[in-house]
Amino acid sequence: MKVKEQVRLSIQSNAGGSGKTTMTVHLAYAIAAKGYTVTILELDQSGSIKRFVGLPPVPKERSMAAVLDKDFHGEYPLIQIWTEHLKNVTLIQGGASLEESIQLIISTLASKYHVLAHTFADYPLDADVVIIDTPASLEPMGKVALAAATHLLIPIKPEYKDSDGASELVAWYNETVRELRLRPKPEIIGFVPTRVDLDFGPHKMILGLERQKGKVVRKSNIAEEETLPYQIHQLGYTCFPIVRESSEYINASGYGLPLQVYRPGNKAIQDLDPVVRRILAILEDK
Amino acid sequence: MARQKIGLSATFQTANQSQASVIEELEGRNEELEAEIARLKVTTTSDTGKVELEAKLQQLAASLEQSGGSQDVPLNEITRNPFQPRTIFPKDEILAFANILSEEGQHTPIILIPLAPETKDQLWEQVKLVLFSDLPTEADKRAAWANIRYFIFDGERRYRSQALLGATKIRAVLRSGAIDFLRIQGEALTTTLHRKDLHELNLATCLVQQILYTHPEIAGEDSPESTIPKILEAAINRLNYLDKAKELRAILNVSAEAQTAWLADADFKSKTERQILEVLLKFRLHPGSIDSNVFPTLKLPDDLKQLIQTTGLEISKLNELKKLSAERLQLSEAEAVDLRRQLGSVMVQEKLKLSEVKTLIEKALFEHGIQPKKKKTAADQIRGLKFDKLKLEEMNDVRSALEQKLVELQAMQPT
Repeated sequence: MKVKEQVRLSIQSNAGGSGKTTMTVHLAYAIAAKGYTVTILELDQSGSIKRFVGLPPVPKERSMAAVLDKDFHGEYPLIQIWTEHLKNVTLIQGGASLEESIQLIISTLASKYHVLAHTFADYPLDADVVIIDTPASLEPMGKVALAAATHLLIPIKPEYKDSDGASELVAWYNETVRELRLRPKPEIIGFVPTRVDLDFGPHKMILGLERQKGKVVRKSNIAEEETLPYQIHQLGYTCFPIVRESSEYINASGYGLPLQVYRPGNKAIQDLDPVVRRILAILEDK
Repeated sequence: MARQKIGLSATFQTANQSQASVIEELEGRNEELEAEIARLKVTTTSDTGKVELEAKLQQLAASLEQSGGSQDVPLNEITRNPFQPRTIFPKDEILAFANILSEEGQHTPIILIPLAPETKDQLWEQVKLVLFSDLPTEADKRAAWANIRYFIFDGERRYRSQALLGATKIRAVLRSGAIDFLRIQGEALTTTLHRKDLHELNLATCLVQQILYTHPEIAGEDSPESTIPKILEAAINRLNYLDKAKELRAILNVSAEAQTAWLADADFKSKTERQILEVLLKFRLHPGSIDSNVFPTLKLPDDLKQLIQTTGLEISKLNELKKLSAERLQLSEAEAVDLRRQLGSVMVQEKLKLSEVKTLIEKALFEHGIQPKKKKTAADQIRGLKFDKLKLEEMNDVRSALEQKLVELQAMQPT
């Protein structure tokens, strides 16, 4: 299966703990399971993805820091992951050595925020889908990722602080597109409410949703315009159905596996299906 | 509870305002389309880029024809856009195109930019360098310029072919609104400079134009293509002498104000030196690198410049070709040009890598009796070391380093 145009999906939010890395690895697995080749790039200096894929930390020369280095000449240090289950997912880890890259980007590199975009242009990555996991801070890695991406997905925890963050993220996105002259601009696929617990008051309030007889329904005593999905629609963006908080994600990461492998048939993972379908549609349409 | 809760609608005010301003921008889309076209024209070399450009141009021509209609414009009122650095128009292509035009007529109108009289006066100093190169005297050029009312925005090939057919007019649509070419060129440069697809020669030409645009007074008696690189070279030498050249890299990424302050602080002999550095720094270009890698392309022999125009051959390979000078090979200039042309076309057609090019040139030099340079041996390198500028405290370091190497050497020798 060969797609016409590579999809480079940047997973971004400017709040910590919104489930970016969880989203990254599970989308990667789901898309790869459909037969597409997927490469994950971790631009996060926390290097937390290693936990989800069961790998030790890598030295600088086998991390994203090497890719962002001035001396990079196209030898992507790709590592195949989950090889017992799939043959088409590769990863380049981030980690502490990205601190050096950050210094390089903000003070030395002429290409600055375009560094990854230029690297892709010079040395195309052989993958149908590239998923970029970013840190919560937008400067500079958020911009680096945005400039290199064709699409953007925004996980958001339905809480007030995170909603503020999402609002600022949209303004940041518009500004960055303008500042870096991203043409065509990366498309925001949508927002995904993540880590949702509908037994938790604030989540119910902000989403305007509640559970009745096991079904998720609109909460009638909340004005629609005061809900997160409404506000997102108002901006002209998609708000995907909720992705529930599940301890199984954490359990799975303890084994370095995605939930799909750790607990096949677990319902929580089906929450991601609409997002996966959207990405597959983009891949097949192009 | 006295305090009122802040709802989500208030939370999303920032985002809503930002979205509104984006929509406002979209309404000026024709402008954006044109800027995008201008950018593509400056930078495109890839095939996909060309397709993209072509599509955008047709979109624009159609929209202009719809709004303003097309008209027949006398050819002598039209000239090419002197700020468009890509000037690759192989002759046989123009001829072939002329044949098509004579058989089928002109399908799409060309797009012209009307020149306001006051703009024309301002542009003269700059256009005389690049336009009307076929006319011998400045008076002739000025007379030709007096007729000009339009620059070509798109359709140079159709224009040339039409001229070749002996026609006097061409069907055209007009772009409305004032256009500041050099501002657009400058913007396009800023955004795309660091991509590798702008050839050093094009970059050098653009930079000379940009420097003249910002500081028209620099245009002196001599051609600016030779003056400006010389001034830059002097400025770099001065910075080296003042021991300030190493600060250049750091100054590249600071704000324009900080750059200006640094320049004011550095001790320049002439205002011109400072002005040139200012323009380069504004584009975040390292003046040292422009001095050593980009401006030297302006001095390439004409046959090599032509080779760039028609093939886009990389500068590293051209530098190899440049080694085949008449003087060095003890040939006549015509023979040397011939040899370069021949090997140049081999390089392009066979898509030789730099290492292969080097071998090819070495072979050619060898055939003309020039031996390749011997590589330096380790012993040569050691003999070449110079200690006369060592400070006292460095001497011990050097001594211990040499001793260490000696120990390594002894350890490797069989006992």
